[in-house]
Amino acid sequence: MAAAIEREASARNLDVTIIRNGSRGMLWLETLVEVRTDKGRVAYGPVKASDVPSLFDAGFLTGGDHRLAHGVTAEIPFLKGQTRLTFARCGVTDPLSLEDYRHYKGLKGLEAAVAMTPAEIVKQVTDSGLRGRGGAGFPTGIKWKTVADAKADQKYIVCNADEGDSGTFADRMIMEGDPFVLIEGMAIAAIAVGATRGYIYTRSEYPHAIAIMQDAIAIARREGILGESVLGSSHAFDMEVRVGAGAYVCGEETSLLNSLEGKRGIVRAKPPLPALEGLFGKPTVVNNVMSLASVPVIMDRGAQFYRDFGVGRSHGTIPIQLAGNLKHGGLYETAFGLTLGELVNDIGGGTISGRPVKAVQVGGPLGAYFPPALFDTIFDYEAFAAAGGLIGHAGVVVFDDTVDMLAQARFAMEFCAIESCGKCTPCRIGAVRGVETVDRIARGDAAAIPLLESLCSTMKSGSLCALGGFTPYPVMSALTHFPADFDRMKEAAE
Amino acid sequence: MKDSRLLDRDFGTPAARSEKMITLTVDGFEVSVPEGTSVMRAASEAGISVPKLCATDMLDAFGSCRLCLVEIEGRAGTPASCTTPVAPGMVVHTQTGKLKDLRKGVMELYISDHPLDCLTCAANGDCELQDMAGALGLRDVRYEAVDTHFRARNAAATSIRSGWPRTRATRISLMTRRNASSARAACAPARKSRAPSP
Repeated sequence: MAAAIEREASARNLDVTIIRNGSRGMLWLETLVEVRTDKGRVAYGPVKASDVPSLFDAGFLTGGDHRLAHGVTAEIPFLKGQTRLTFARCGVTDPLSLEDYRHYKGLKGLEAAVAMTPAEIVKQVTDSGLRGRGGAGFPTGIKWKTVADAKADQKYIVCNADEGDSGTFADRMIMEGDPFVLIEGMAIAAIAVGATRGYIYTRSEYPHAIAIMQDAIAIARREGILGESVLGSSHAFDMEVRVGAGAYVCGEETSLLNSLEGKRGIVRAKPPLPALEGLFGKPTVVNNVMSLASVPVIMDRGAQFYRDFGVGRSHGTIPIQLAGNLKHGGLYETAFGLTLGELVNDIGGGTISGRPVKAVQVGGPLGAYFPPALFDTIFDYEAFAAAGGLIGHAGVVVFDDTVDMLAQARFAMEFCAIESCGKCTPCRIGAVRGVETVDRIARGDAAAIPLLESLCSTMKSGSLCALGGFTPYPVMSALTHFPADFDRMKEAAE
Repeated sequence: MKDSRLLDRDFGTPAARSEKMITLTVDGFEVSVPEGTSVMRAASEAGISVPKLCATDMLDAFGSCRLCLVEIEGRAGTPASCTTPVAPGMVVHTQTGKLKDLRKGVMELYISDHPLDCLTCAANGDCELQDMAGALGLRDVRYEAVDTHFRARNAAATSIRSGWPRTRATRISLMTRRNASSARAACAPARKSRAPSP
């Protein structure tokens, strides 16, 4: 696309500067081309290379009208309705321009942190109410305090960027679109807990994110943000990117640590907590990309500023990833508190197929399916838990009425069987039995339904980690909310 | 404290070395053990045996078999007693209705993946798996197992997604642990050796 624009511009003898920025998160408009004009940045999308000549003909360099024109980008309702704190720069700046980063208030958080004592940083993060954005929702400040209070000759910051949940792309967007914010967040965490080394554990399926992160780290090192002296302070911190081999379970923190150590990625029993005995047995902060990338704005704008967003015990903003059968899929960062229905129907614009929504899975492959009857559920940690679900990494995947929920339940079990690390019995054998039991139900064996329920309760309480423990969520929610799909005898009779 | 070297009894996890004693309650009995002791071993010291398959006092706890799950007042869920260290004032329940169902459910999964050849098996009558199935009251397996590790092995693993590579890996890890136990037992002549591993 950039090449097509460049070609066309030079053919027309026009002088254009092309900057490749990250995504704004409006995925139905990608590839999005923005032009800086007197009115502000004007959006055109989705642009194909073949559209480029007609864009030039329409005078798009001065904001001219075109069938792909959407007016000023910031005024597009999908963007206008958002509260972008973590993603403030994403899609706006050149990802690898530190100058851009500084211009859009980057490094302010780290500068503030360098001037504070570690205890003050921990307190500020605790007071902000930030909770782990990876899924568990554990208060980030409390985790940091545990690591800060531990006595050790070496501590580590590990960023969990092994984003494997279905329908999630927030981590990737930040790493590709605003890598410095993650580096800044990790450096702040390091100063807060006294760590000198950091690792970003990401997946091999993200080659662009890996390349951009590595370049950004090299730039940060050159510019004195990383290294012996972080921003000229007495704190040393350096980091590197490590790439996983593709196991979903390596997104589980203890499994991730094993993988990072070069071992097979199997889950460790807790205790000991990674905060006390983590990477190589040393106290380790393991935080999700989203948690770490939210820290700079907290340090810059203050704990209270961040805390004031959200509802109940869920403070701040959450980058919700709208995916699946939706008209307007993309990343929507907003304060906690919208309802699921608003997200799917108003913001997502309903299904792209035009058929009615049947089910929405929230929180990745281990998240529960919600029927439209539960669309008034408020998007926060507690409300979702109360409704028998979880928000996980805030991925929302929409299905229309053609989906077979029995097949989805089977898929959940099959996924668990494939991705199980094999350490604990309920997950290793239970998932295989689960697939077989769902198949029995599909053959019309109604006696297998209570067996599936019994298996789910064994897996839920008996498993070592969330993989086996949460697989019952999609299975049981499918069974509870869509019993008709499991009644194959009746179907056959009809 | 009882000396495990003189008894043919497995306390589940190794003895802790700490001088500091921790007092807790297991099934209503008060017991004091060194700091760092597992809940499983504390129960064992009090004469209460918690069901187990993967734990032995000759090796560090691993936490994979999920039969030793217990309930601890004030804590969520059902932690494995082998990997959970004791804490002062802890109130542990090793026998509840919930745990009974849970353990039986896990045991049923184990047996669903087992050949059921007890009558012709050399380990018949001297088998931990058999003992545990009996102790947990497992009489029937409700699953219609299709994809088992032994069947897959015989069928030369036609499906790459069959249960067997994972199950085998775990069996090997368990066997390695057992072999390691026998090797250590052999190196310590004072220790009365246990039944040979299958």
